[in-house]
Amino acid sequence: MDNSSQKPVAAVENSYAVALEWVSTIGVIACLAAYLFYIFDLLPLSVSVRTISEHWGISADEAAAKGVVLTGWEWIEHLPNADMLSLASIALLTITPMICLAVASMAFLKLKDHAYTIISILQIIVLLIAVSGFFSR
Amino acid sequence: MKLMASGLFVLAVTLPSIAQAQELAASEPTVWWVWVLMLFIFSFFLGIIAVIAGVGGGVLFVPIVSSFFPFHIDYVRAGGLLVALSGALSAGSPLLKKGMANLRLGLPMALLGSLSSIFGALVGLAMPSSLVQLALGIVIMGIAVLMIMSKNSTVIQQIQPDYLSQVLQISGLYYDTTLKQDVTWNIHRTAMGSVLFVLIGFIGGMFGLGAGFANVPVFNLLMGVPLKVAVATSGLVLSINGSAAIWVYLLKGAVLPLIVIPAVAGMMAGSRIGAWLLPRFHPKWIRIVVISILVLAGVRSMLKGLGV
Repeated sequence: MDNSSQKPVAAVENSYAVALEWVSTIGVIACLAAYLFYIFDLLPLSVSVRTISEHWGISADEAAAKGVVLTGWEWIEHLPNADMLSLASIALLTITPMICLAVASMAFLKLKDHAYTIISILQIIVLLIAVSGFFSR
Repeated sequence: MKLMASGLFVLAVTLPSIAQAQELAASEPTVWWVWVLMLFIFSFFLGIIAVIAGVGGGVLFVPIVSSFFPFHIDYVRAGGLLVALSGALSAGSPLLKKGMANLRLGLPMALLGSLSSIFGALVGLAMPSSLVQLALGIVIMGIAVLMIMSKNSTVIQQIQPDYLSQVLQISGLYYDTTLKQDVTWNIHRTAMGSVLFVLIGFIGGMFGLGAGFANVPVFNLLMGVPLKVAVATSGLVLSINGSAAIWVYLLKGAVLPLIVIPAVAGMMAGSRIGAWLLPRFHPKWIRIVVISILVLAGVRSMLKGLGV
C-alpha cells in the first residue's frame, strides 16, 4: 500500500491535537473553577448541595419528577447559578471532540480529501444531533 | 509478588475508607462531603491502577462505584463516560502528535460507534435499574474473561490491505521507540471491525464504560493494527463515542456535577501519577489485581441487580 499520503495526514492530526490540547485544558480549568464556586456557595444555587445529596440514590427520572435535576436545555435558564455553571463547564468538556473535528474537517478540505471531509462533517452532525436532544425527547 | 502487594496496598487504602464513609453516612445521612471526598480519593487511586494496568477508567469506575457508593446507577454511568472521556482527552494530544493515534483509522469507526452509543445510552436509561445492574455485572465478568483470554499481539504483521481500507486510505507510519525504526502499517477485515465497533459503541453508551477494553483487541487482533497505534486510536474513538452518549445522560438530568467533577479530577490526577509510576510496576501483576477487582465488582453488581 502506498504510504505517500502520510505527511499531509500528519498535518491534519497535528491540527486536531493542537485544538484538543487547548479546548480540553480550558474545559478542565472551567470545571474546577465552577466546582469551587459550587461547593463553597460563592454563587447562588438552583438546587442546594444538600438536596442533591438527599436524592442521589434515586433515578434521574424520579429526581427530575421531583424537580431535583433539570432535563433538556432547561439548565441554561438557570445560569449563572454555580451548579449550572458546573454543568456548563462539563458540557464544554464534552464538546471538545466536536471542536477538534471542525478543525480537522477544514484541514481535510484544504487537502482536497473529500471522503474524510464528509466523514468529519457527518461525525459533527451526529454529535450535534446528540447535543440537540433530538433522540432524548 | 512484592509488586502485586503494592497494587493490593492501593486497594487496601481505598476500600476501608469507603467502609468508613458508609458508616459515617449511615449515622448522618446528609454528610455529602464525605462521599464526595471518598469518591475523589477512590478515583485518584483508580486512575493510578487504570494507567498501570492499561485499562480505561470507566470500565473500573462504573461497576465499583455503582456497587459500593450510594449513587444511583444513572449518575454513575454518566460519571463513567465522563471519566473515560476526560482520560482520553488528556492523553489524546501527545499521541496524535507522535503519529500513534490515527484519524483515518479512528474516524470511520467513531462515526459508527457514536451513533450506536447514543442508542445504547437511550436503551440503558429506559431499562429498570436492577436489570441494568445485573447486565452490567454480566458484561464486567465478560470483560474479565476477555482480559484473561486475550493476548494482544505486539508483533507487527505485514498485512495485505483489504478493499475498504484501500478506498478509505487507512494506513500509517510511526516511529517505534522500542524497535528504534519507522513502522508502516495497513489493515484488513475493515468491514467486520466496523460492525464490531457498532456493538462496542452500544455497550459503552448503555453502561457508561469507556470500551477501550474492546476497541484495542478489535483494532489489534482482528484488523491487524500495531498495538501502540491500536491503544492510541482507541482513545480517540472513545472520546468521540463518549461525547455523543454523555449528552443523552446530560439532557435526561443524569449528570450531577457534585459527583462527576471530583471523579474526573481524581482520575486525571491519578492517571498522571500512574504514568509516572508505570516503569516501576510490573503490568502483569497489576493486571491480575485489576481482573480480581473486576470479578469482585461484577459479582457484587449481579447480586445487587438480583436484589441480594
